[in-house]
Amino acid sequence: MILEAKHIFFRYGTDGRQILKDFSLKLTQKERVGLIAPSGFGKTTFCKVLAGYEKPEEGEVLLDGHPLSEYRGYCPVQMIWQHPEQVVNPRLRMKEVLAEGDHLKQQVIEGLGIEPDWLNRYPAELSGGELQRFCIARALGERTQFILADEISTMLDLITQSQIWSFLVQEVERRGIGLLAVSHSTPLLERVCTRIENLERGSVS
Amino acid sequence: MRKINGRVRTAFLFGMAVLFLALITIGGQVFAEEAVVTDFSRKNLAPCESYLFGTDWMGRDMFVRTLTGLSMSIRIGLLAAGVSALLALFLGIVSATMGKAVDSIVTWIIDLVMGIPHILLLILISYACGKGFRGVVIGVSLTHWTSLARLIRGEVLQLKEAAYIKVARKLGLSPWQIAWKHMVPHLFPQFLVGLILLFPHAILHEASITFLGFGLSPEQPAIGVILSESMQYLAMGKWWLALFPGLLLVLTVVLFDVAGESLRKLLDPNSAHV
Repeated sequence: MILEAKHIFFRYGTDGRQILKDFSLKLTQKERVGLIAPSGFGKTTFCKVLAGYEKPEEGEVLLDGHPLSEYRGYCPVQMIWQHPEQVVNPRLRMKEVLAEGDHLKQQVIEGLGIEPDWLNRYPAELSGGELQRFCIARALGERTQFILADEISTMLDLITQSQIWSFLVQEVERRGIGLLAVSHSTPLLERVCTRIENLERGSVS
Repeated sequence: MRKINGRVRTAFLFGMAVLFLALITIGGQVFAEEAVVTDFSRKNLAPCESYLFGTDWMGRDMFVRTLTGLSMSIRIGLLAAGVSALLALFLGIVSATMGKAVDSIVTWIIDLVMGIPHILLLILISYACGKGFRGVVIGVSLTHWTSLARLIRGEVLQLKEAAYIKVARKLGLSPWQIAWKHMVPHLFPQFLVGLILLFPHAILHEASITFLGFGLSPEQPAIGVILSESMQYLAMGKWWLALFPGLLLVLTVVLFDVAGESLRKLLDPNSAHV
């Protein structure tokens, strides 16, 4: 499958600042693309558009030539958010959060270092890094074809960062999942990705 | 000694409060006949062993009369708070999901009802509905739903925009599953605790408009009637006529508050391991 963003224009509301201007990106399942740009250039916004959370003002997001919005049910493009505490329901126990994922493999849960003891807890009883592992696991469901990782490791210590990234890279490589990684850290992206794009430069093919 | 788990203690407190309230309600029903018995051979007795709360100028046993009055109050509270909470749930959800026009109408009504002093609106509605049991229940129901409705409206509005609900949609959950798994766990505790905390209001307001003469009729053994009658005898040194019924009314209200608060603690995940 190929995920393609074509000439995306985006702004919040009708009179907001133009955040994305004619930005295009093509991503295959063999690639791990790093996306880099200074703060406020719309990295997160671009991820949201690409994952179908926001509709672009102009331009389109295509998955295998069909608009992503036409896909019903499970979305093959899954985004992992920067702030894990916002994307888990504070009233659900962690095992119910994982149950939302699509037939998660035990090996994914173990590979991310999720301890069985955490499953019975509520989100408020876990740290940000522990929560983020659950969010990554949840996104790695069976039908996932593309992963958009939006600054997923900024709140983690270096050891945990390397643990999580090495598992994620290994997993997407093994299953042939396309990865878009967003980060401020160029060394990290150089290590993880096969190609790096800069959002600042505008249109890239 | 082993320390008792806070959660167990809270659950115990909740159980005791509910049990006690149930006892008052049922006890009042059982003694309903006795409460209206007049016996002039035992009038104006101070509290003693056989008449715990004493007797009044018509020789009625004040303990039984108070119990029956409170039982009546609790039943009125149950009905009025139930109707009020359902009204709040319905209007809150409608307001948050049916678009801007509906939202502004509902919010306007909330502001209107909240803007008028409770007791005034209550007296007007109760009087217009012919006082008595019906008047009180309608009056209390129509005046107490506003703050809960506003709370539920806010909660639904916030939930609709929550990132975890957007994520759930992308994970292929149906709207029904999202409502059940993600929204109900947030709304249900608010609703239940709101419902229980409405009771003390309902009971106090019932007692106060009855006291003022716009509620239940004087021959009914209601707590408001008891208190207003006792006022005439207070200056004559019959202190027990007001003191014990008043204390029991306060106790009932406090118990409802304890029940509501402990239930809130039990249902809130942030205090899951207190």
